[in-house]
Amino acid sequence: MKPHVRFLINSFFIILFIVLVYWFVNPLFVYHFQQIGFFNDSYFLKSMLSLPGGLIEYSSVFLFQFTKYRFAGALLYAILSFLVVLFVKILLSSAKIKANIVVMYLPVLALSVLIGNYSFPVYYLLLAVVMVFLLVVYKAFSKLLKHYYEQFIPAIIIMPFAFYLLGGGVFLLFSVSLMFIEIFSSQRIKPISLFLIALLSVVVPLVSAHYVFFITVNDAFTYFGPSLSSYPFSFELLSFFAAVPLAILLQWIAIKIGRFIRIKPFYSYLQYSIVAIVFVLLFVSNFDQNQRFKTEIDYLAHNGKWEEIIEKVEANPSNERLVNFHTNMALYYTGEMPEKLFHFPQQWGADGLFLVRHFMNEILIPSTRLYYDLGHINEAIHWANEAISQREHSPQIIEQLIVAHIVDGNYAAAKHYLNLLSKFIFNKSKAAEYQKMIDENSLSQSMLDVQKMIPVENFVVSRMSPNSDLYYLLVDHPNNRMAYEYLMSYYLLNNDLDSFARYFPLGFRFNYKHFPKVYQQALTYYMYQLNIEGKQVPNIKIDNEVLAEFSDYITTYSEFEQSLPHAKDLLKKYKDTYWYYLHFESPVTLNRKIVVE
Amino acid sequence: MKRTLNNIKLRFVQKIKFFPRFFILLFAVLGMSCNRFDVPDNADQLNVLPQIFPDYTNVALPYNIAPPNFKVEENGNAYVISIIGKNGESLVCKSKNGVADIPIKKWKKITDENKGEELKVNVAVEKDGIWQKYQSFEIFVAPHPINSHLSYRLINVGYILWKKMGLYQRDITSFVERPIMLNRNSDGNCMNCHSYSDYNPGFFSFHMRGKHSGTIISTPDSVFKVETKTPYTLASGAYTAWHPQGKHVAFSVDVVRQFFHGVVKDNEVYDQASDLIVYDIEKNLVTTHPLVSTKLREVLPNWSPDGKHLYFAVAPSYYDSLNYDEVYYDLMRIEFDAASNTFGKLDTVYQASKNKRTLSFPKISPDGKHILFTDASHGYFTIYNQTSDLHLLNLATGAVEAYPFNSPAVESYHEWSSNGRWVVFSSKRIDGLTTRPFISYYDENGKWYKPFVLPQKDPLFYRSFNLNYNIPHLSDGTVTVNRQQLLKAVWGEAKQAQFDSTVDVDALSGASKIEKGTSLH
Repeated sequence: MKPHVRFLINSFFIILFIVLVYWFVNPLFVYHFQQIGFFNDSYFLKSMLSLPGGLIEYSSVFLFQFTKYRFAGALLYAILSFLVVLFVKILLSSAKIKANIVVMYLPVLALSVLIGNYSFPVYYLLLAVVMVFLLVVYKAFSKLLKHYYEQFIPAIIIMPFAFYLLGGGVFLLFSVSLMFIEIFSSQRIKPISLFLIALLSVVVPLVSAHYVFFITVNDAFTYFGPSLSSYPFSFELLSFFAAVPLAILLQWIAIKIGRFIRIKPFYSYLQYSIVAIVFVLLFVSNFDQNQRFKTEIDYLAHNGKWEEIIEKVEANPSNERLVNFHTNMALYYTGEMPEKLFHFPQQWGADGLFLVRHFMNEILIPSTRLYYDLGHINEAIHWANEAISQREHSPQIIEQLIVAHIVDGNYAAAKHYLNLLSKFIFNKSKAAEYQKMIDENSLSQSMLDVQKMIPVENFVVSRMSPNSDLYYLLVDHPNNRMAYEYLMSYYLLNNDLDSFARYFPLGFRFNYKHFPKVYQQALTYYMYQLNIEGKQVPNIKIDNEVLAEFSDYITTYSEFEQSLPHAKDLLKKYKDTYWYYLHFESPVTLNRKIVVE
Repeated sequence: MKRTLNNIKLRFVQKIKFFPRFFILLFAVLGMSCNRFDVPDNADQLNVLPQIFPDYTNVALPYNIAPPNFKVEENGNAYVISIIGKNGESLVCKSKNGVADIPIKKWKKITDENKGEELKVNVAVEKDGIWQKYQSFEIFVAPHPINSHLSYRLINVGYILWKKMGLYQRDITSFVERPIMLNRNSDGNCMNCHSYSDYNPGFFSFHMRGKHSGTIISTPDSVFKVETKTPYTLASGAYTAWHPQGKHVAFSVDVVRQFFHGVVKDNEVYDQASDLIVYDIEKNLVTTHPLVSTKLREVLPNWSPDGKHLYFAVAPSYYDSLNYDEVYYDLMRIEFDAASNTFGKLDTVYQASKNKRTLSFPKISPDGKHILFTDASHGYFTIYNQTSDLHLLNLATGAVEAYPFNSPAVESYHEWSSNGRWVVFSSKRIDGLTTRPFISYYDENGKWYKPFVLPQKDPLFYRSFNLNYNIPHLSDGTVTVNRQQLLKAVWGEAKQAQFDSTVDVDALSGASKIEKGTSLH
């Protein structure tokens, strides 16, 4: 194959990779999901360097900052993947034999399974680049040394260094790759080298654990890292790194078979085509659309794009708790909460309104934001602190803490976090903005609005019964519309119509253009129940349309009450009503327990 | 090949020839820049102290402490900081950014030569070509040293959740910090309540919760994990105090609860029930006594220096309608005979509740004459209570005086140095948010000196370090336990402590009794 053709094909692969990452994955969402800022600080560097794999992790966190920009992020992934291919190619090639194309792309094919996962850290990509590069260096070094008494030198020099750079688990695969190089790639097997590699693959981690690093022996052999991310170890991840020794083995088999080594261009094109097709297929089949959607909604919520959230969720209704939570916030911010609360899935009930009753890492920042918007500043700071304990390098959380402390009037605390924010290389200007805000005591209008809603009378926070907090917020600031609508929604989602009926008049001060439809539906049902129980029915004016709908609904429901699935089916046209939620969706009605992994 | 080598040689020779010229140029540039730091005699003299961070103005330092690096926070282009001893010997730091990065060897020399004397610190700042000298300040080099190491837990602010934490020890005569235990080596569990026996790092313990729960006990002979919870005790041992002879460890066993306020800035940590136990290391035995295992809430044990008394804080029993801000702890002590594991007479030492105040973390001075404690508005978990201040109780007279350098922020988690001349404590005074270790001198005449924050190589370190220094403890040297042995103990099965069969279980009326009777759980 001619060089310019090869160049074009390689360019095609890079462009393909960029397109997939740019359009499908979207690096902006990756950055938002992982939120690991590069902290320009000597303590951070020192703590990173104290661990095997730490230097690479430190470097990868630096590189990760570029995913904040969509194209730069896609380009970063593409370049690192291309480097893996390039080094594997150099590793497998020799003066006489070229690397088999499919084999050469094996690690990147394995990567296609991982790249669509939003928690996949750049760390592993960089680790793979360094691993293959060190193998190339080893092979080149070995070639220079012809005498048998020199055979031990490359392993002795490179392996401890490799352990420090790669860390336990990847180092083990690196050692296997070295052995495969000695067995399958050398012109003759060097028993001394082979023995030494086997010995060092055990001795280096053991010595490191006992005398150099503060790590367990188990981690010295199996640690895959990284320390700043909670990406779980998986078979797919193992396959990615194991693809390197496998490529060495397969190249040897290909040579033994004698095929694909010197082949016609047609077969080369065929191989490239196979690689491209398999890569795209693997990527698409493993790409988690649900995770993307959830991350996108979270990203939009973080940026306050509520209308977009409503549009997207209308087009793609989701039962994800986080999506449900953001949808509810979007409904509030678009003024539709009392009108359209049940137009969207609410199967999480009140736990779609508040997230903190059931912990998950992903709920911490959104909860902080919710409490902040409610003016419940103590809880906003509390949850931001919980969040930062989980993601100490997240500029977003630090920014949230700055804003909350500024609004709370605690400038000393805000300045502490400002110092932190200014140490992230891409957040300096943002830090300067907040510093100016503090210096000039010039809060933005939205901050002033929140400040007005901060409660003044103390109360004990109730994580499990957020309605009591909302009530206290409202008592102090009856014009806290968000607290009011959330309180009413809480009662409705919790099937607590008594409380709803008792407190809904608090909303008269908000001068709704008309009596909110969801509230009318709830009160209709409430009055219907009171009537059945022979209790006094309050005189509340309900729209005729609502009454007519309810009459139709309740007639059908009563008729088929004994066969709820059938009733549910027949009443599908009322699926956007509170009645339907109450009978068929509410976790209280269904006695559905929430399980959090 | 030969030609290539010749080329390289030629280039090398050319470079060597260039070197003298290069160095002349370099020295000229350096010389010019040195002139920049010459403070003229007629520089303006200001009558104000320079703003420096951390604040080391007019503090007392032990002569063996690491250099107190600081940053002059006055606008300027060049800074000259001179530290001058009694005989005029000086140490000069010049910088363009205001950082006084004091060379450690020179600092050691000047402090060694000035024990018991004051060092004078002059700060001069050049701005727009004009030099200004600020009012000098003093640093008193106390004649008493401080224990060489400080250990602490570094942890984020989280109240319910945690991820990364570790126990560290810092050589405070230098800037070297090394981990004692990191929770990344133990499945990310929670760990704390580290403690030494008589400042001896050979006798060390800490507690772990979660996956590898238990108390790690490290002595010169062994390191092992023990489960101190028995059928007759409420929980595993938490707040720890090593007996000075190193064979017993006192703990409180607590049912801890926490809640948050909607407006008040502190959150509340309180005990629903608590008792005291003593663990005998050699016999693997947990003992208690009806006098320290009552319906009252006994917590925070601390041994007298001779080991004959166990001091502790005590509050009335818990009931649901009790107002959280009306819980006051008093100080009591009970006799203990280490040879026979027996408790003796119980005394009330100080009733903070009489003044509607509370007492926590009682720490007896090494001479046994004073008790330093945290005074606060209520409760015992004073690190979250902004009213927390240090107070000193004179055991001979019963007089209590407030530590004169308390701040509006939290002061708590304090400890005496082994010579009784220094106190280390946690304070949130820098930003009201994060706890930092402060050290204060207490001289033979009972005079307190202005405290200083533990020096760091980077003077701005505390401004952007988001972890809290939790429970600082002094020790003489580094923890000696082999790391892999420690990890083996951490990952291994905990040894079950046995409950002392001589304890009259039926006489226990407190949390232990409740546990037995199952009414609490």
